[in-house]
Amino acid sequence: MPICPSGHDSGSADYCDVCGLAITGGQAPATVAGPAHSATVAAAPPAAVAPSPASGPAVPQGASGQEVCPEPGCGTPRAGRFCEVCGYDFATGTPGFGPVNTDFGPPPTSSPPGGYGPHTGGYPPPGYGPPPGAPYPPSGYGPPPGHAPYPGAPTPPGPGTAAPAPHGYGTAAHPGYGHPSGQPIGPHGAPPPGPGPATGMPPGAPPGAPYTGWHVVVAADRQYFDSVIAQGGPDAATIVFPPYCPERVIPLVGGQVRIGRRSRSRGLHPEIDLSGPPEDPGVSHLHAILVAQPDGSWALVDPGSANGTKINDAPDPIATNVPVPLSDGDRIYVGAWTVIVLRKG
Amino acid sequence: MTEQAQFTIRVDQNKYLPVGGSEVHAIVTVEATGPLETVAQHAQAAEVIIIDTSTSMATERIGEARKAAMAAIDTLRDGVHFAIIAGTTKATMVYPSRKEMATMNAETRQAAKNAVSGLIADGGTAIGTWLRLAADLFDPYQGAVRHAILLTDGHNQHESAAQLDAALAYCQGKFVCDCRGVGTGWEVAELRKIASTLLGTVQDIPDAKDLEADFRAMAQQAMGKAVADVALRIWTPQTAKIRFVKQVSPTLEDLTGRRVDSGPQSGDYPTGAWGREVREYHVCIEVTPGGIGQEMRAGWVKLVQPDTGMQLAAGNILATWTDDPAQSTRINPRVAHYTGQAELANLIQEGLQAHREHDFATATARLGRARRLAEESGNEATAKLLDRVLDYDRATGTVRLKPHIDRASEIALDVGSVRTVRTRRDPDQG
Repeated sequence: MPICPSGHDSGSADYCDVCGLAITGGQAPATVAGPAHSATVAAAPPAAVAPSPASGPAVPQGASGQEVCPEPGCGTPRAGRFCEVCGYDFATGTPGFGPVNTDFGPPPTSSPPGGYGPHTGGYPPPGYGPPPGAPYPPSGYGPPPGHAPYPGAPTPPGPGTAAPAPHGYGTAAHPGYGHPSGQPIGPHGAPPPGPGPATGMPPGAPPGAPYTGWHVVVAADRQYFDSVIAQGGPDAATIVFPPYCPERVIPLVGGQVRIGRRSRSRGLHPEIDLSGPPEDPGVSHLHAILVAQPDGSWALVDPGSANGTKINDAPDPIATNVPVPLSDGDRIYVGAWTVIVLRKG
Repeated sequence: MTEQAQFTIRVDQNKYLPVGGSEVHAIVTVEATGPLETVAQHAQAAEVIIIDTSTSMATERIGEARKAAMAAIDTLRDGVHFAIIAGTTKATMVYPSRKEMATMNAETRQAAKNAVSGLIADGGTAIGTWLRLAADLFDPYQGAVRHAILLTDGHNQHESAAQLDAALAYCQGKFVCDCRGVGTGWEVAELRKIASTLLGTVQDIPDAKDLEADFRAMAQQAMGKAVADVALRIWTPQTAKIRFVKQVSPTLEDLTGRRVDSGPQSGDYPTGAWGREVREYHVCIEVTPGGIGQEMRAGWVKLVQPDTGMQLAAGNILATWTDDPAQSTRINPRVAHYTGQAELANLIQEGLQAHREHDFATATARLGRARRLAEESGNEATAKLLDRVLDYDRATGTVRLKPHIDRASEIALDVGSVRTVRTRRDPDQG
């Protein structure tokens, strides 16, 4: 019977019946819990890419070679990063927080500026590209699947300390997660240069995706509102400026951040949700998308919103479906009153 | 075994997700091919024709309805099980007189037409009771292609909404029902609810003279159905969640709530009976993000007959994580197209609702935007329907609501809003 990279027995030979992972020929899933695994530990030194069982959490295996949860009395077969039953974190060896990804911020060993953060979903199969804990070249582009981990990849310079981040979020070495190996954190525990956890992460970051070092501030702008009303659209007379609209800070997480209004019927849950209260009535359900650029900056795409999107003081809306590069401090105007200011760090 | 319907499933998607990305979108195209006409000829079929005989039909409408029912009877082939129901505050058997189906032959065909010619319009409207009777008539014909035609001209005034809902719950899955509203006194939302639940279509027939041709076409289409009770079965990984499953072509229909669990990690979404046709579905699945380079089957889509367990076709919805934004930010053109068609339908619904509430500013804004979107996406039929309610200046892109919007145009637009067009170019680009 085929066995998938996560160790499930699968009836189908192409993709796992349980977790859906691709099953590639010639792999020995029984080795999943071994050395390759240890590389997912963020604080492991480069040497740990080579077999070094001491540097990773001790992960037991079932009789069939299937990885199981090591928590006393649990022993559930592994389905992903977290135990399906008790929430044990296979990647860090942290017991039972419940199945919630508490991994805020980029791990210091893996993210060059503008690169991508930690491996969030679990499933570290052998023979795939370097596990996310392994350093990537600064270009941020990964090697093709099936590649061995980069042995000599550059590591970000750093002061060589692993001071806890001032904001109390788990950062450099996942303080509080505890590393069973007791390894010194070493140079890799340092925050990466440029934007990183040490510069402070705005509150409210959703777990589960890498924080990019950028955030936006969403607010209501009276001047913009007045200009919209002055243009006198068909709805203009019925729209009032919201008397109370607190500023919101939203971190930019992942590769795409959508601006819009949520719609349950259409399954739309934009990361920057302007459905309020107060709801901006001029915002389309999917109004615009912030797209991460390879160099770490952001661009804005309007996929065809009803009322258009303006940037800074430009009199005309941006063209549909054409990415517009943004920089720190740029103002995005959407809807009747909303201004979204892009901020780095 | 050559005399069998064949089904194909094609999946259009951009499988690449950014690191941490969890939302997988795909357009699943299901096409029925093979010797469908031959198969349909030999398929078991049962047909019920339900004619509203409430007092409001007592104009030229009842005469046209009689002609239409006769045309449908003429179209049904010999051997088909059939019955005719007259609907008022209760449901009455027109033919046969007992609560059962007759089998079509020269004799029953003539007898049924004679019975229909005696239909008189006198009474109220309680559609739920009509549907319940139809469901009971279909009961002995499990496995057959079970189709009903429902004709009404008014809203369901002698029955509460809860009674209709209960009747729909009773009938769901027992037959497919195409609904026709004649004139302008009926409620689009009401017939749409019936048709959606019973996997059928809604069509407005403003002029009763067009009923005959429409009934003939519906009966022909019912006779063309070769395979009954087909479902879309979607398997998802252990930790995944299905965000939505929507039919997006030929019409928009949200199937998300119609799921029936069919096994561990899999559920069935009913699609009714199939003839020679193509339907498309937009599936959105939320998966646990994987590592760079990992590939996952986010959804395994199969076309099955749940009763027999027969699998007719299958396709994969995949997810691969990449840190190359050029790959992960590309939106599949078909996904984009149908997202746009859904937005178009939504704008029309919002615009019509605003119009009903006499909020003409919002109505103008929404319908105007819909008009531009219809043109951009090549949905000419919807653009035409919109032009019946607004004046559109193509040069400036401005719109104005027509000072007087007649009820027929409003109904036509409401009914037509869920019809989509398929993408114009054939996107075989991965």
